[in-house]
Amino acid sequence: MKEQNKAKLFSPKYWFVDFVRITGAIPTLLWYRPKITYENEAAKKKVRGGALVMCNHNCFFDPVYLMIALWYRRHHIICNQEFYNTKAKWFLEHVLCIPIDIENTGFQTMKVINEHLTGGEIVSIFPEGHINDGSGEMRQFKSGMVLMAMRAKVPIVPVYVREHKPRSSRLKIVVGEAVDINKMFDGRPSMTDIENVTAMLFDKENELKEIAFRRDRK
Amino acid sequence: MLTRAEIFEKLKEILIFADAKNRDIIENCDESTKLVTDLGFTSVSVLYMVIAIEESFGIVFDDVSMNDFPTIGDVVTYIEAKLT
Repeated sequence: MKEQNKAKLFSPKYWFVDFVRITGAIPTLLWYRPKITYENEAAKKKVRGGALVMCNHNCFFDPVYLMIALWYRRHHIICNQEFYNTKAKWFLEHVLCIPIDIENTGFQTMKVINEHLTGGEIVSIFPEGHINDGSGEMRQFKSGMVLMAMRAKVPIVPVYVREHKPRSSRLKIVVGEAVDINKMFDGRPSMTDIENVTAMLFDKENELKEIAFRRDRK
Repeated sequence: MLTRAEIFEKLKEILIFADAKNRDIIENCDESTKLVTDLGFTSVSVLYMVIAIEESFGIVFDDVSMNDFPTIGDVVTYIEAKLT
Protein backbone atom coordinates (compact mmCIF):
# COMPACT_ATOMS: atom_id res chain seq x y z
CA MET A 1 0.00 0.00 0.00
CA LYS A 2 1.46 3.30 -1.08
CA GLU A 3 1.92 5.95 1.57
CA GLN A 4 -0.46 8.86 1.07
CA ASN A 5 0.87 12.32 0.24
CA LYS A 6 0.51 14.36 3.41
CA ALA A 7 -0.40 18.01 2.86
CA LYS A 8 1.57 20.21 5.24
CA LEU A 9 -0.21 23.25 6.57
CA PHE A 10 2.36 25.58 5.02
CA SER A 11 4.53 24.29 2.23
CA PRO A 12 6.64 26.50 -0.10
CA LYS A 13 5.75 24.14 -2.93
CA TYR A 14 2.10 25.00 -2.62
CA TRP A 15 2.27 28.64 -1.55
CA PHE A 16 0.84 29.98 -4.80
CA VAL A 17 -2.15 27.64 -4.99
CA ASP A 18 -2.92 28.30 -1.33
CA PHE A 19 -2.68 32.05 -1.98
CA VAL A 20 -5.01 31.82 -5.01
CA ARG A 21 -7.52 29.69 -3.12
CA ILE A 22 -7.66 31.94 -0.08
CA THR A 23 -7.81 35.25 -1.97
CA GLY A 24 -10.14 33.89 -4.61
CA ALA A 25 -12.58 32.09 -2.35
CA ILE A 26 -14.32 35.06 -0.75
CA PRO A 27 -15.17 37.05 -3.93
CA THR A 28 -16.08 33.81 -5.71
CA LEU A 29 -18.42 32.70 -2.94
CA LEU A 30 -20.03 36.16 -2.81
CA TRP A 31 -20.48 36.46 -6.56
CA TYR A 32 -21.63 32.93 -7.42
CA ARG A 33 -23.34 32.08 -4.12
CA PRO A 34 -22.98 28.38 -4.98
CA LYS A 35 -25.79 26.07 -4.07
CA ILE A 36 -24.37 22.60 -3.69
CA THR A 37 -26.87 19.74 -3.84
CA TYR A 38 -26.01 16.14 -3.12
CA GLU A 39 -27.51 13.23 -4.98
CA ASN A 40 -28.06 11.32 -1.74
CA GLU A 41 -26.64 10.94 1.76
CA ALA A 42 -23.71 8.81 0.53
CA ALA A 43 -22.63 11.62 -1.81
CA LYS A 44 -22.05 13.89 1.20
CA LYS A 45 -19.31 11.64 2.49
CA LYS A 46 -15.84 13.15 2.20
CA VAL A 47 -13.63 11.17 -0.16
CA ARG A 48 -10.63 9.59 1.53
CA GLY A 49 -7.67 8.02 -0.21
CA GLY A 50 -7.82 9.66 -3.63
CA ALA A 51 -10.54 10.01 -6.22
CA LEU A 52 -11.05 11.03 -9.79
CA VAL A 53 -13.68 13.74 -10.10
CA MET A 54 -15.50 14.06 -13.42
CA CYS A 55 -17.46 17.13 -14.37
CA ASN A 56 -19.31 18.50 -17.38
CA HIS A 57 -17.58 21.38 -19.15
CA ASN A 58 -19.62 24.51 -19.89
CA CYS A 59 -17.03 27.26 -19.59
CA PHE A 60 -13.50 28.24 -18.58
CA PHE A 61 -14.59 28.82 -14.97
CA ASP A 62 -15.58 25.19 -14.42
CA PRO A 63 -12.31 24.37 -12.60
CA VAL A 64 -13.09 27.21 -10.18
CA TYR A 65 -16.62 25.93 -9.65
CA LEU A 66 -15.23 22.47 -8.98
CA MET A 67 -12.81 23.85 -6.41
CA ILE A 68 -15.75 25.51 -4.67
CA ALA A 69 -17.82 22.32 -4.72
CA LEU A 70 -15.07 20.05 -3.46
CA TRP A 71 -12.87 21.88 -1.02
CA TYR A 72 -9.83 19.63 -0.93
CA ARG A 73 -6.38 21.04 -0.24
CA ARG A 74 -4.54 19.22 -3.04
CA HIS A 75 -6.97 19.33 -5.90
CA HIS A 76 -5.35 18.76 -9.28
CA ILE A 77 -7.10 19.63 -12.52
CA ILE A 78 -6.33 17.89 -15.78
CA CYS A 79 -6.06 20.54 -18.46
CA ASN A 80 -5.53 20.56 -22.19
CA GLN A 81 -1.87 20.69 -23.25
CA GLU A 82 -2.74 23.56 -25.62
CA PHE A 83 -3.01 25.98 -22.68
CA TYR A 84 0.50 25.06 -21.60
CA ASN A 85 1.84 26.53 -24.81
CA THR A 86 0.53 29.98 -23.87
CA LYS A 87 1.53 32.62 -21.30
CA ALA A 88 -0.76 30.89 -18.81
CA LYS A 89 1.74 28.06 -18.38
CA TRP A 90 3.35 29.41 -15.19
CA PHE A 91 -0.04 30.04 -13.58
CA LEU A 92 -1.41 26.63 -14.54
CA GLU A 93 1.66 24.85 -13.23
CA HIS A 94 1.35 26.62 -9.90
CA VAL A 95 -2.35 25.94 -9.42
CA LEU A 96 -1.75 22.18 -9.70
CA CYS A 97 -2.88 21.60 -13.27
CA ILE A 98 -1.73 18.48 -15.08
CA PRO A 99 -1.28 18.96 -18.84
CA ILE A 100 -2.69 16.29 -21.10
CA ASP A 101 -2.64 15.86 -24.84
CA ILE A 102 -6.26 14.84 -25.34
CA GLU A 103 -5.73 13.45 -28.84
CA ASN A 104 -2.61 11.47 -28.07
CA THR A 105 -2.24 10.91 -24.34
CA GLY A 106 1.28 9.90 -23.40
CA PHE A 107 1.97 7.15 -20.91
CA GLN A 108 4.01 9.52 -18.76
CA THR A 109 0.89 11.66 -18.20
CA MET A 110 -0.96 8.54 -17.06
CA LYS A 111 1.83 7.82 -14.61
CA VAL A 112 1.74 11.35 -13.17
CA ILE A 113 -2.03 11.15 -12.69
CA ASN A 114 -1.70 7.68 -11.20
CA GLU A 115 0.89 8.94 -8.72
CA HIS A 116 -1.43 11.71 -7.48
CA LEU A 117 -4.41 9.38 -7.22
CA THR A 118 -2.58 6.59 -5.42
CA GLY A 119 -1.05 9.26 -3.18
CA GLY A 120 -4.55 10.01 -1.90
CA GLU A 121 -5.11 13.25 -3.80
CA ILE A 122 -8.05 14.50 -5.80
CA VAL A 123 -7.70 14.80 -9.56
CA SER A 124 -10.45 16.41 -11.61
CA ILE A 125 -11.13 15.75 -15.25
CA PHE A 126 -13.54 17.05 -17.85
CA PRO A 127 -14.28 13.87 -19.81
CA GLU A 128 -15.92 15.77 -22.67
CA GLY A 129 -12.43 16.90 -23.63
CA HIS A 130 -13.57 20.38 -24.66
CA ILE A 131 -16.07 22.98 -23.56
CA ASN A 132 -19.44 21.85 -24.93
CA ASP A 133 -21.21 23.75 -27.69
CA GLY A 134 -23.61 25.63 -25.41
CA SER A 135 -26.68 23.68 -26.50
CA GLY A 136 -27.05 22.26 -23.00
CA GLU A 137 -26.15 18.77 -24.20
CA MET A 138 -22.88 17.20 -23.11
CA ARG A 139 -20.37 15.84 -25.61
CA GLN A 140 -19.65 12.13 -25.52
CA PHE A 141 -17.20 11.24 -22.75
CA LYS A 142 -13.72 9.98 -23.50
CA SER A 143 -12.92 6.66 -21.87
CA GLY A 144 -9.44 7.59 -20.64
CA MET A 145 -10.79 8.58 -17.22
CA VAL A 146 -12.07 5.06 -16.61
CA LEU A 147 -8.65 3.67 -17.39
CA MET A 148 -7.07 6.16 -14.96
CA ALA A 149 -9.45 5.25 -12.14
CA MET A 150 -9.01 1.54 -12.76
CA ARG A 151 -5.24 1.76 -12.76
CA ALA A 152 -5.13 3.78 -9.54
CA LYS A 153 -8.01 1.77 -8.00
CA VAL A 154 -9.87 4.90 -6.93
CA PRO A 155 -13.56 5.79 -7.24
CA ILE A 156 -14.99 8.32 -9.70
CA VAL A 157 -17.00 11.17 -8.20
CA PRO A 158 -19.50 12.65 -10.68
CA VAL A 159 -20.23 16.37 -10.41
CA TYR A 160 -22.63 18.41 -12.53
CA VAL A 161 -22.27 22.18 -12.75
CA ARG A 162 -25.27 23.95 -14.20
CA GLU A 163 -24.49 26.76 -16.60
CA HIS A 164 -24.42 30.02 -14.67
CA LYS A 165 -27.27 31.83 -16.42
CA PRO A 166 -28.62 34.36 -15.69
CA ARG A 167 -25.47 35.76 -14.12
CA SER A 168 -27.40 37.10 -11.14
CA SER A 169 -28.64 33.61 -10.21
CA ARG A 170 -26.99 31.25 -7.79
CA LEU A 171 -24.56 28.74 -9.20
CA LYS A 172 -26.00 25.23 -8.95
CA ILE A 173 -23.71 22.28 -8.45
CA VAL A 174 -24.80 18.67 -7.96
CA VAL A 175 -22.41 16.18 -6.39
CA GLY A 176 -23.13 12.52 -7.05
CA GLU A 177 -22.32 9.41 -5.09
CA ALA A 178 -18.82 8.06 -5.77
CA VAL A 179 -18.81 5.22 -8.29
CA ASP A 180 -16.32 2.48 -7.48
CA ILE A 181 -15.78 0.96 -10.89
CA ASN A 182 -13.08 -1.39 -9.59
CA LYS A 183 -15.74 -3.43 -7.83
CA MET A 184 -17.53 -4.05 -11.13
CA PHE A 185 -14.91 -6.41 -12.54
CA ASP A 186 -13.05 -9.38 -11.09
CA GLY A 187 -10.09 -9.42 -13.43
CA ARG A 188 -8.80 -7.01 -16.03
CA PRO A 189 -11.71 -5.47 -17.96
CA SER A 190 -11.66 -5.40 -21.76
CA MET A 191 -11.87 -2.20 -23.80
CA THR A 192 -15.56 -2.98 -24.41
CA ASP A 193 -16.11 -3.05 -20.62
CA ILE A 194 -14.32 0.28 -20.31
CA GLU A 195 -16.49 1.81 -23.03
CA ASN A 196 -19.62 0.46 -21.31
CA VAL A 197 -18.55 2.00 -18.00
CA THR A 198 -17.91 5.30 -19.80
CA ALA A 199 -21.45 5.19 -21.20
CA MET A 200 -22.80 4.39 -17.73
CA LEU A 201 -20.96 7.40 -16.27
CA PHE A 202 -22.39 9.60 -19.03
CA ASP A 203 -25.89 8.48 -18.01
CA LYS A 204 -25.03 9.14 -14.38
CA GLU A 205 -23.98 12.69 -15.27
CA ASN A 206 -27.31 13.16 -17.05
CA GLU A 207 -29.11 12.03 -13.88
CA LEU A 208 -27.27 14.74 -11.95
CA LYS A 209 -28.27 17.22 -14.65
CA GLU A 210 -31.90 16.27 -14.03
CA ILE A 211 -31.43 17.02 -10.32
CA ALA A 212 -29.81 20.38 -11.16
CA PHE A 213 -32.83 21.43 -13.23
CA ARG A 214 -35.53 19.73 -11.13
CA ARG A 215 -36.02 22.59 -8.69
CA ASP A 216 -36.77 25.05 -11.50
CA ARG A 217 -39.47 22.83 -12.94
CA LYS A 218 -41.36 22.57 -9.65
CA MET B 1 13.97 -15.36 -22.06
CA LEU B 2 11.10 -15.08 -24.54
CA THR B 3 11.74 -15.28 -28.27
CA ARG B 4 10.35 -12.67 -30.64
CA ALA B 5 7.69 -15.14 -31.83
CA GLU B 6 6.60 -15.86 -28.24
CA ILE B 7 6.35 -12.16 -27.47
CA PHE B 8 4.25 -11.71 -30.60
CA GLU B 9 1.87 -14.52 -29.61
CA LYS B 10 1.52 -13.20 -26.06
CA LEU B 11 0.86 -9.73 -27.41
CA LYS B 12 -1.84 -11.11 -29.70
CA GLU B 13 -3.55 -12.68 -26.68
CA ILE B 14 -3.54 -9.30 -24.95
CA LEU B 15 -4.96 -7.58 -28.03
CA ILE B 16 -7.69 -10.19 -28.47
CA PHE B 17 -8.72 -9.80 -24.84
CA ALA B 18 -8.67 -6.03 -25.15
CA ASP B 19 -10.69 -5.91 -28.33
CA ALA B 20 -12.81 -9.03 -28.88
CA LYS B 21 -14.70 -7.31 -31.72
CA ASN B 22 -11.59 -7.48 -33.91
CA ARG B 23 -10.71 -11.03 -32.92
CA ASP B 24 -10.49 -12.33 -36.52
CA ILE B 25 -8.28 -9.47 -37.68
CA ILE B 26 -5.97 -9.83 -34.68
CA GLU B 27 -5.68 -13.61 -35.04
CA ASN B 28 -4.59 -13.22 -38.65
CA CYS B 29 -2.38 -10.19 -38.13
CA ASP B 30 1.37 -10.04 -38.61
CA GLU B 31 4.06 -7.66 -37.43
CA SER B 32 3.28 -5.18 -40.20
CA THR B 33 -0.35 -4.73 -39.05
CA LYS B 34 -0.98 -1.09 -38.19
CA LEU B 35 -2.53 -0.41 -34.80
CA VAL B 36 -4.49 2.67 -35.79
CA THR B 37 -5.53 2.08 -39.38
CA ASP B 38 -5.92 -1.73 -39.36
CA LEU B 39 -7.08 -2.37 -35.79
CA GLY B 40 -8.78 0.98 -35.15
CA PHE B 41 -6.78 1.75 -32.02
CA THR B 42 -7.26 5.07 -30.25
CA SER B 43 -4.92 6.73 -27.76
CA VAL B 44 -6.94 5.09 -24.94
CA SER B 45 -6.60 1.65 -26.55
CA VAL B 46 -2.84 2.14 -26.78
CA LEU B 47 -2.70 3.12 -23.09
CA TYR B 48 -4.77 0.06 -22.25
CA MET B 49 -2.39 -2.12 -24.25
CA VAL B 50 0.64 -0.58 -22.52
CA ILE B 51 -0.83 -1.22 -19.05
CA ALA B 52 -1.69 -4.82 -19.98
CA ILE B 53 1.81 -5.38 -21.40
CA GLU B 54 3.41 -3.98 -18.24
CA GLU B 55 1.38 -6.37 -16.11
CA SER B 56 1.87 -9.41 -18.36
CA PHE B 57 5.56 -9.01 -19.21
CA GLY B 58 6.67 -7.35 -15.98
CA ILE B 59 8.33 -4.43 -17.74
CA VAL B 60 8.01 -0.68 -17.26
CA PHE B 61 7.34 1.56 -20.24
CA ASP B 62 8.97 4.96 -20.66
CA ASP B 63 6.96 7.88 -21.99
CA VAL B 64 5.25 6.41 -25.00
CA SER B 65 2.20 7.45 -26.94
CA MET B 66 0.15 6.31 -29.90
CA ASN B 67 2.62 7.68 -32.47
CA ASP B 68 5.48 5.61 -31.08
CA PHE B 69 3.95 2.33 -32.16
CA PRO B 70 2.69 2.47 -35.74
CA THR B 71 2.73 -1.33 -36.14
CA ILE B 72 2.51 -4.43 -33.95
CA GLY B 73 6.10 -5.16 -34.90
CA ASP B 74 7.19 -1.91 -33.25
CA VAL B 75 5.52 -2.99 -30.00
CA VAL B 76 7.23 -6.38 -30.16
CA THR B 77 10.60 -4.69 -30.79
CA TYR B 78 10.05 -2.41 -27.79
CA ILE B 79 9.14 -5.32 -25.49
CA GLU B 80 12.09 -7.34 -26.78
CA ALA B 81 14.47 -4.47 -26.05
CA LYS B 82 13.02 -4.04 -22.57
CA LEU B 83 13.34 -7.73 -21.78
CA THR B 84 17.00 -7.93 -22.71
